[in-house]
Amino acid sequence: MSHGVRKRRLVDSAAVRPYILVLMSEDDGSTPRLRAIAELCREVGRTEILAVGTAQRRPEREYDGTAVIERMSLDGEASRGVSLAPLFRRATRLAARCRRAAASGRHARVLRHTAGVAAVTLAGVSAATRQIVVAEVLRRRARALSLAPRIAVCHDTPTLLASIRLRTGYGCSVVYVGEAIPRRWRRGADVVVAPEPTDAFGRARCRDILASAFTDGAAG
Amino acid sequence: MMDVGPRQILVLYWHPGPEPLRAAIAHHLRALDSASLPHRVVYFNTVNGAPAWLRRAPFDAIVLHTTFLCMRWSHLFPRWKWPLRWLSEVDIPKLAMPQDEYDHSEILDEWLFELGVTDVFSNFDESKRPLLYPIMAGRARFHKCFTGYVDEGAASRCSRTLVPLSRRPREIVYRATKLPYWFGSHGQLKHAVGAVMGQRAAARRIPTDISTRPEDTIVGDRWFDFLMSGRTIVGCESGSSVLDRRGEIRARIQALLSERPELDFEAVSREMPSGWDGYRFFALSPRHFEAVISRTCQILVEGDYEGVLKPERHYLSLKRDWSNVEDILEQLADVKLLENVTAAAYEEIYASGRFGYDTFAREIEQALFWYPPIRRPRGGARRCLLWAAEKMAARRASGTSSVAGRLVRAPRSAVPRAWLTLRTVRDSDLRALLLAYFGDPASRRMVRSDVLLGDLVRLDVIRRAMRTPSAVGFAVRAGYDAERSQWTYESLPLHSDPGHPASGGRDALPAGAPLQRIIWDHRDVGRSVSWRSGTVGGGTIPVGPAGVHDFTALVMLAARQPQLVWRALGARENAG
Repeated sequence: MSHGVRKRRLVDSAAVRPYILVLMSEDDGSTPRLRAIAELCREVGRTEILAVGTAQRRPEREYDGTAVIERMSLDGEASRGVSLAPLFRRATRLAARCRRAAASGRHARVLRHTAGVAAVTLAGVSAATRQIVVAEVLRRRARALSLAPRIAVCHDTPTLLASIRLRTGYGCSVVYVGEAIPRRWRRGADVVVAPEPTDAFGRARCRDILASAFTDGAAG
Repeated sequence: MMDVGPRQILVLYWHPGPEPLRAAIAHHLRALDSASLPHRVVYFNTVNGAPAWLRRAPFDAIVLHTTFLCMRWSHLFPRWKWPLRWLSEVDIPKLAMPQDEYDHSEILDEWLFELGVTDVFSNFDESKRPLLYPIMAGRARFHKCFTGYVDEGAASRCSRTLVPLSRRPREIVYRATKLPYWFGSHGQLKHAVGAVMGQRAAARRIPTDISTRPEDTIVGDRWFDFLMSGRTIVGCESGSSVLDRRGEIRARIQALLSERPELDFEAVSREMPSGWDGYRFFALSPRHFEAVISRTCQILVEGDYEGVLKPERHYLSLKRDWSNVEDILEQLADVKLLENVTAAAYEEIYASGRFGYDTFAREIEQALFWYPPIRRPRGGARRCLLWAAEKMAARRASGTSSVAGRLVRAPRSAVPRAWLTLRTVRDSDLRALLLAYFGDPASRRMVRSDVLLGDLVRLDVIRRAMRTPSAVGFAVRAGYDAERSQWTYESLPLHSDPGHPASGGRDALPAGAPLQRIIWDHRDVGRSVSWRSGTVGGGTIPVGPAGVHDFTALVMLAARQPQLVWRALGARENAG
């Protein structure tokens, strides 16, 4: 004991109880791909799933000794900035309505184009904001985990964003499972795998890749 | 050779207020104070976090109190814990005192590892450790301790007001919370034992006071009055029969009940995985010690009681299948038997001194002395940090609650503070003192307005109690000790018994008499007072962690405004 101030023991903690951290957005329980990812990780090792969703019917926490699922409500966990979301939606609808209404008149064409651009911009900003909020909620929850994960598994843009930032804090590998994001963004992940839930061969290969990343840990 | 010199210890606890801590928890928190140890202990309330600069303060050890570790159950836990991550970076001995370790056990285990805890004071023995602490079991030193101990102050208060068994109006008393289903069948036993005994006693027309309703909960020192109103108290071991590793059992049961609120425990149990209710995390509760010091005979469901309480010697044993309830009820008429049981429990448990908080404090001290003392270069900066930590901790601990709390914290300048105070404090003497304070720059420099405000609000309560004791529920006697230059207010409970009239009154304070200290000793009544104001509502005001308040602001102000302070104190003027 040196009796001073030291750095957090992240590498140590990853070795104490190695586990896979799975980040999920839109956990409504009906997406087969998300279920398949969770199952794959479970087969590889101890798994902790942090899920953001809106469906509150299911228990907020499940645990069978191998896989922990913690479900968070977006409204409950996000920052107060989320309260601006309805304003964005209302503004988007208003812009769309203006575009439709400006069908006649002297400056109809200019008005229509302006309203159209505003509607598209607001819709885009709204969607992007939501993704950022989801990423932020996941990151804030995951950063407070007591033990560092060996690998962080993500499946879409917000979870990838969160995983990349967690890698800085925990030193874990980022495994992206899926193909639905631009190639440039996928470069942020250490490993990219694309499983098909129905394809047995692809599934086995995917499990091997996950297992390999899990065993190699932070070095992976 | 082991260095046994005084150490500087930071105790982190969590208390949201505004109600004062329950007596048992407050005694447990202040365990290190009970043995008159030479250590410098700073009690820091982390309800609003703890600043990271505390890691630079020259503490020799950090104690993580039960209330601090209980935050693992909260849904706010991740958010609350993140600003406290500096704790894991401090490389000094850390002592954790978890309780209810079966609840969120894996989260607790991981958190203790993250914090770098060196010593764990566990309520359970070695056989449970691999199950409860798979990570920490091989990494930290474990010490077995009880969930609570005998508080010497409470014991001496009980001995002063002790009511003989033959004069107690009720045969059986009991209070317990009806625990949720996720504490398992053992949690339900706490409610069941009260219900069964209540029904059987009612059938025999035995006078009882048994309740498990939340609104009948008794807190503070009234608990001991309640205990001494009955000859016997029923009970069982504390703990749970469920291991809820990460809160999944609780979440599952909550989800079940939200869908079908009508489900009873058996129906819920059928929906749960097999073996969920098969654990035995049982422990002795502080309540058992409280019954011992109040000389109330205990009727307890058969159990181990950590080997401390022996059946038929220290308590009357009740079968788990309730087969001997009638026999027990028969025994209640034998006061001699009950007196023998209570006398044996009192002598062998309390009088032996083995289960006092001073014993617990010595154990903590021994755990600390195992580590070599920390040698730091001398420096004024470290001393300043320690002083600042103490000041901040004291400010948080004495944070007046409700209206008083808002008065102190919310106003950002002197003007609204003064306005709010003038609306709150209706007494002309106190107002005059406050106006004189605001009109005198030297007084303002000397005394902080929020400290003075806290003193005045408390003094307002005292003056009301001196005028009309029945309005506030206690009387106040004031006196001046010339030797110590101390003015003392002593709160006296209002007894319904005409043999114990509460006699308020006041001494004369000679003109020009020095005032070194002004004390309000409220220990005989409680640790807080209810306070009402016609204009801004009211609330509960803590008198102090031990039921004693020190009027530091008034003492300092007495140097500048002696006449006004004397008038505010309510002292009779004595020109001689």
